[in-house]
Amino acid sequence: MARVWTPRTLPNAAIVVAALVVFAFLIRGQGRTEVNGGLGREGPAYVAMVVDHDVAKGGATTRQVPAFPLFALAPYLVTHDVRQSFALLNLAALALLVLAACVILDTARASAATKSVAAFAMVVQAMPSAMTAFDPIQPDLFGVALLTAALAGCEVGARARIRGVPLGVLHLVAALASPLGIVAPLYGLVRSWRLHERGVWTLGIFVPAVLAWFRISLWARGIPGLIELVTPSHMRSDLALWGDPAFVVFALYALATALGGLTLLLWLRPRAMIDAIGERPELLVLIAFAGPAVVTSGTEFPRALALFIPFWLFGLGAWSSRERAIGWSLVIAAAVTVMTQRPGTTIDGTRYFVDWFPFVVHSGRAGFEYPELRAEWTPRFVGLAAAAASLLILTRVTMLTALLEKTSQRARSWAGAISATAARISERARARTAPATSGPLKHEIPLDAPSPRWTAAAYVTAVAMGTTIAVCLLGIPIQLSDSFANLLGVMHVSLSDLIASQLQGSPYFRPLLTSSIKVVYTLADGHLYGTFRGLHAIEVIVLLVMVVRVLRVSTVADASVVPLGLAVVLSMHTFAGTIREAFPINAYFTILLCGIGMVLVSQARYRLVNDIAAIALLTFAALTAETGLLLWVIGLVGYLVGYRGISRSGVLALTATMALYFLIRFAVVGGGVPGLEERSAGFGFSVYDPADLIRQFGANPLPFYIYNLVCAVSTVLFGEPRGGLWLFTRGVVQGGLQPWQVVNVLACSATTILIARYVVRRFSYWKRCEFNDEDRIVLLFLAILPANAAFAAAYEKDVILSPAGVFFGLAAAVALRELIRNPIRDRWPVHAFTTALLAAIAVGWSIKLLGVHYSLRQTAVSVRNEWAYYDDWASQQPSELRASVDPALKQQLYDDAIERVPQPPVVSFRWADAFFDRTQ
Amino acid sequence: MTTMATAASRSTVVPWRIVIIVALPVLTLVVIAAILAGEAIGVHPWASPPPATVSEAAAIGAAYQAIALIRQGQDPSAAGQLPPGVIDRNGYNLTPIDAAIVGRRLEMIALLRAHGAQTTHPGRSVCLAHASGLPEAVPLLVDSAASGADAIVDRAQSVAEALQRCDSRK
Repeated sequence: MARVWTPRTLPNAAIVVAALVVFAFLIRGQGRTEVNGGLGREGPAYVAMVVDHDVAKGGATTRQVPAFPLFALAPYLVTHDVRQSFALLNLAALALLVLAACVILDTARASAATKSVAAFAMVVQAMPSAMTAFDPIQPDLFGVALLTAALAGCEVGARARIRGVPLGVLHLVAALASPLGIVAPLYGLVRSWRLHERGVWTLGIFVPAVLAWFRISLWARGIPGLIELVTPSHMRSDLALWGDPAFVVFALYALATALGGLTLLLWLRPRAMIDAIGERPELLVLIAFAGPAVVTSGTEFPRALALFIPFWLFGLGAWSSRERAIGWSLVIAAAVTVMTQRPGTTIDGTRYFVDWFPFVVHSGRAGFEYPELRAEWTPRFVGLAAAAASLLILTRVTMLTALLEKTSQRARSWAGAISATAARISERARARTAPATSGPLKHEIPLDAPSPRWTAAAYVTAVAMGTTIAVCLLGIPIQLSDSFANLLGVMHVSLSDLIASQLQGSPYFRPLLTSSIKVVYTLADGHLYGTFRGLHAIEVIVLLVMVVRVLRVSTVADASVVPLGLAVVLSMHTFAGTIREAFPINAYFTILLCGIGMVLVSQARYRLVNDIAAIALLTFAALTAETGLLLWVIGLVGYLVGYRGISRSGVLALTATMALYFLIRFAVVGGGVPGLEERSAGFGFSVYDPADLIRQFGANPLPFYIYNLVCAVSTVLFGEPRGGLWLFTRGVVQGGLQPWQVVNVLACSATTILIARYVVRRFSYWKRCEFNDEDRIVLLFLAILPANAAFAAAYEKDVILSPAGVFFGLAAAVALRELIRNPIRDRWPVHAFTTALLAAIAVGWSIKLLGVHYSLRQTAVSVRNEWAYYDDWASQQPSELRASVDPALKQQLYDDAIERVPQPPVVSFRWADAFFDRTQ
Repeated sequence: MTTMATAASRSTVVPWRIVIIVALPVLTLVVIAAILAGEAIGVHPWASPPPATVSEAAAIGAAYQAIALIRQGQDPSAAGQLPPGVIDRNGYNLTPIDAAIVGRRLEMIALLRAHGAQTTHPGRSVCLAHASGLPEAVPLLVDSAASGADAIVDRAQSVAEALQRCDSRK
């Protein structure tokens, strides 16, 4: 007795119903094609087939899928509305597709979560599902649904003994529903042959479908038409597009996201697809037919990829049966599906091409210009790369976890010597990641059990946080002030002349900053916004990943401080200047990357290349901006506190490099340092312009320099003053205190108290020169802070303190970690105070983290408005600069700001906006 | 027993600290990611819609948006709708220059003039400038001081009152 009803039938039915509900919701308000009066490109032919009951109407393509209009006939006879008939048919096809997907995944015993995510992907994928709302009279969804159902039917038929006529009819209809419908019966034949089901009855199921396909194809195309499809000249013309790099890029994006995040998952774990083919070699039939069809589909490549849906589903089944922890992967895959398939967006004639056939627009085949194409697609590639990186880390870590568990299982099966070895190995690992075990920091609590999943979680958090900043950054065009002049300065000057011009003696000695701009400008090849902003966005993500690397996350205690630690790094007011501005490369950000890079080199195991890397980093950083000299402090102090990644000779070489820098800068080149006349500066409660500063301190600038030094240290520790101005104090004294000022001072001060607590607890060990890994990070911060402050002596600007701010964040993470591990001595008043302190820190930095994104959005508006007032800006510039303006460059950047770079929405939380620091 | 009690107190005290440290920043990150994801699919509940007319852009000082709308074909001199909430609770129909005046966006006036905007009723515009407390806008509106002398009025208490006073100057 055939079992139709299985324990999975009800859940599958529920998934199908839910999918239809979601689909019906998503297509509300969906746009409709205007081609042929809303019928679409091939609509009139299919409509004629249905209304006139004549399948001979139309061309070769439409006649090869007679099942499509034939099945639309049934609802048409009831509704007498041809559009509604096709819409109902598409709905039925979607339900069949989702059901077939569930059946295929059931063969791999996939979880309900996997099936739900797959069903979700089926519903929201643009092609072929969502496109049926825009262009309902096209057979893509119908054909793919029947193909998938036919392949699923082979699986069910094999198990539930549903054979014979129903399966044969299903394959016959599938063969007549798609130009590649022959795949279905051939798949069935190969599968049956593999399973030794080689009787006449099997032939009787599948052969009629094969014959029907050939008959229909001959009738639709004729023999010359069929032969022409496979002639070399025809194929060569179809393959010509693959020589265009833009086509390849867009095609790879489409291939990676054909089924949203699920295909991305599979491409990152290709073993799953190989296993699927290994389990079912008949899938090669699908690949053999669909592969060439997709490759030769030309500009229809994104649409043709739908043919691979059954293959993705079998691959997903193989992936889910082998992967151990699939929860987070599925969550990220679902998010990527939404991100790439853009459900719910209204499709019109322009968006149809821009979002789904971008190469057609790029190559001018669409018949309209779309200058914003690159600006719109760059964030999508960045987002996809970030998602791929997250999934890659997650999948590799789970694989490593599985490997570790298998290894430990094998070890446990050997008694005595192997278990002792495993115990010794785990003890060494624990000692390497834990702080010093002497004194009050001894910890033997489960929080310190190392696991690769915590490392992965930390990196995923870093990538996620960096991506949100990157997305906001990409909404900011290249700014006018500083950037435009710098670009003009590098446009028509060779690299050697640029470097030579920096050796003329000036208050600023930054030959590699302008050189970097020149190099990136040259590589950009005219695509300035995408290249410079894209670089800036990537730098943010890289920096956060490097910060996580410095923290050496391996336990739950380590991982739990990463979100707040990174929030401190990103939300420090000293960091704001590194992301709000770019010239168009932000030199201060470059210094941050080099500085954290120097820490990583110091932390690593010693190799000669570390010394070379350290010298290279110091040289590059010092010649990019003056604060790059802090790398010498990092290298030296790192060695003194116990890092051995750089040797003693390496530290001496760093010192020699420093000395050489000073010699070249002040003796050979003859440069100076910025004086009082250079710019305005905050002093007390007011801003002093250069004339005021000279009048006040011209005779003796030392008090002013000391004032700036104190302000620099204070701004990092307490968030006050800001740029030398005591805004919070002024607000308390004179009134007008702003909520964001309270948040800023509260968050910084509470964090400083936490770090101070750590210092007090560890000071007795430091006196004995006993340093653990966490101590080293805090000591680096304590050394960097005054050294960095020295660079702000001439004028206090928050962004100059950005290196100290990043190390402040690292020290905060370390102090938090220590607090989690060691609550032993807390009596209830101390415990209450500590909890309140933690709450203040968490609330303060969370508000500031939101504020960073908010301020980036405000920056996007202000940069655009700056360009709008270009004429006013130009009138205030020196005549030499005005004379050097390149009209084409100016127009390009102006157009980017006014129209081309998409303006992100201006977000406002009304009264809550007052808590966000708009000055940062 | 002491060791067990200490161990028990450790396990009950520490998780709360982890929750405090982890929850808020992660929740903030999730909110930010949700906002960005919503924007990507066209859902932005906390964002105000972009100005639809040059007049609206001028009133709020959105210079680049005013220029973009002019580039898209909107007449920089034609009156446009200012929805309620842009200036005050009322909606208005004003030319871009008049909208810039009532919105007290002095810099927008010169920008609009540079992009082809004309004062269709100079007398009214001058009157609005005085009534809105923006007399420094007058030189941008008229060629000579004399031609604006008869439009001087006292500062009005509201935009509606200013418009009422100056409408007779058309």
